[in-house]
Amino acid sequence: MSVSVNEAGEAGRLILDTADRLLREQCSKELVDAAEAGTWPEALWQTLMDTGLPWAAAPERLGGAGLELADALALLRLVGSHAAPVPLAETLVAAALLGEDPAVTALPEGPVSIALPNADDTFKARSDGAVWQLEGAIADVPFATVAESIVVVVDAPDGLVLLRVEPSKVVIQAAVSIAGEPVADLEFGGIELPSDRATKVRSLHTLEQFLALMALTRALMTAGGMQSLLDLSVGYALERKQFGRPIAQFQAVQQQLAVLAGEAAAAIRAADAGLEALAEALSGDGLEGRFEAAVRAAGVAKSRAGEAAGRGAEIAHQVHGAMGFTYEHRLHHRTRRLWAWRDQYGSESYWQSRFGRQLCAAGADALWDELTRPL
Amino acid sequence: MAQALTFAPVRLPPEAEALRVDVRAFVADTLDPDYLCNSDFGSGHDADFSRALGARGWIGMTWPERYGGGGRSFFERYVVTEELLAAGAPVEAHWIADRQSGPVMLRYGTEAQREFFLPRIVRGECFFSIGMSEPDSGSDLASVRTTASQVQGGWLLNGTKLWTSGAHRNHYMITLVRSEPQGDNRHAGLSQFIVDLKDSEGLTVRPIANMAGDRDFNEVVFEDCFVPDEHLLGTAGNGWEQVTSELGYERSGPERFLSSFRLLVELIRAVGPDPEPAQAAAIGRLAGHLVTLRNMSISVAGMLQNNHNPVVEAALVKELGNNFEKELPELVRLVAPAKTGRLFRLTLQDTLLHAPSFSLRGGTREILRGMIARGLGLR
Repeated sequence: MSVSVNEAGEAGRLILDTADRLLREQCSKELVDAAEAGTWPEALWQTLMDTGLPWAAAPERLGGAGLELADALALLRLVGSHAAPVPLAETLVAAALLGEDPAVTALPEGPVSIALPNADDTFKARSDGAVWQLEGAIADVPFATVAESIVVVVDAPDGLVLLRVEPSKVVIQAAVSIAGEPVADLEFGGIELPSDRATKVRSLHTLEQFLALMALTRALMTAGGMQSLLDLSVGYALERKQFGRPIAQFQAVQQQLAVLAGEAAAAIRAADAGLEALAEALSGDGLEGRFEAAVRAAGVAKSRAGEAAGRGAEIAHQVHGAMGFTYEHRLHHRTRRLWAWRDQYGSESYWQSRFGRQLCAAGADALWDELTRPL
Repeated sequence: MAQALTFAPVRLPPEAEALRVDVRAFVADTLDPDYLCNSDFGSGHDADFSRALGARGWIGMTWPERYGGGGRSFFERYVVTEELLAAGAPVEAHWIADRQSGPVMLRYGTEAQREFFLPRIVRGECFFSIGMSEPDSGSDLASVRTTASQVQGGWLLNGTKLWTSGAHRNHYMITLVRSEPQGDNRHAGLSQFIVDLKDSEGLTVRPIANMAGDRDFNEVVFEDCFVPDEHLLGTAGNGWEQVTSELGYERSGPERFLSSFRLLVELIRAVGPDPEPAQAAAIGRLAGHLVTLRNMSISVAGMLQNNHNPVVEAALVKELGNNFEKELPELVRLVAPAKTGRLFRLTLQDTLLHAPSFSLRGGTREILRGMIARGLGLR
């Protein structure tokens, strides 16, 4: 009767299980600390490449695992649950979209950063057919300083184009996010690229759709992070003793952890619903309405997961007490990432406002239909 | 991974979506457009409306056809219930019988009970109340003190039930009483009985007005009230297990997050097509929560469809859902335009006045969080 979607299938499950085990072993507190101090975790990245995770959605002809994009994105929860300090989402998305073009004969080696301009950026790109010229700047690009390739998303007259840029050609103003992960402002300064560095995006059509896809990656990573917060907090409450008993036995603590569980469950469900809508949109029947439904679902995923992150991090820290406030403890590797991700690719209010404006435009008597229309 | 977190993706099957169209058409034809009713399942008792639903096969939908049921899926029932609530339809009369009295009789009742009660419920002619709480037993349900003592041909009930919604209008009540003195196991010795509210000696129903001014809940007093043996439900002494088995049905449905829905509709009407930023954000936020809750609730419908008993998942949906339906009026009043219409003001008042009950009825927030904590292995 029920249709279960987003089962990544045998190949996806194999990658997921393998990567989960390897990340558990390798993505240690020390490794994340070192990444925060500026050491690129090359060994971890190589291990991930060996599992096939970063190229999970790239076609097999290019060395990828050939999963559907929506199925592969489900694996991004691992980034959140293990606080993996690598641009897995960016590399996975870039490899999938580049690989759609039969003219692409090789994927960029190494980690990828995606530079997605928004309305506040001065970035401009134009092509005369043979050469692309890039001007202006794009702010707050995650992982640009550690990437071997930067993929710039360009809103060209006949659709989206991905331009592969060598980081050495761009002026990079490096900074770190609240999670201690690299972000950078990129200044393009009129650089020119031959047109063979450009790939037309086939499955997405607008910058907003691309933004929604990236927002969904953050929602999924947040969902994984929320599960981890819950596991850590429940574990700590069962171990930590005060007044002669584990603090898990105090109702005040139990009630807070129940709230955390609810927020985690909502974040996970909302993120998965975003994936389900994306899978529908990419299923190939080309209905524009499905893309709008997917953007909307990604927005709900991002905003609901972002809210959950705020409340969840607050509770997790309260339960962990002063211990969780130390640098020594690994909790902050999760909570700080959740705080960083909720502000990337549109905060809660960005996506809520978009949804709210649409619902007002549709009108009061259409509200219920808007909320229940099947994908 | 903690068990309470597994809300598998479920998509409503095509036959359920097809049914949605029928329910919408029926509601549009039947409801008076000026009728003021919120999306609260307890806000409109209309026996004629319930009978009309029964005639369409929209009560007892999941029950076997040999009892008059529809033999349909939990997903189809889900769609019918959410459409009725969203439209503000008066569903109170048959709601409890359809949601839990019928299912508990299907599971534990005798063949004679099923053959007698279920077809009547399905036709929208037989309405039920829940007789659980007492003056000294609210959240601590196992402490009920109403007794049943065995006599020739049946049982004599003595004691008082409280907050019994609809007891002054409904036909029957399934009540939980102590049929054996309490021993070391306080969950043992409890039994459920089907009590005839229209025709029982020694039974007094006294309405209690609530703070919203409704005459909905009651005190029900038993004074040597005779209940025949054939109205014992299930096994004597097994009442606790039977009562807790109802909870998956009781707590996960759309009535646990839609109670305030009409107010969101009226806010959008008051705001118009071009909202201020704060209005757009508030509306988008509430809608995003609602969409996610609905997703989770449909996931639980899938668990029921697969014969699971998702007690912890249902508690989690109710906890999140009640918070949502209580927060909705608080957020709406802060962003509402200065000038609103009569329907908006009435709906806001109605929602605020009923909101305190949302996280009390059907299991308090504290009890639900305790159940979730147990599901997490904390207790």
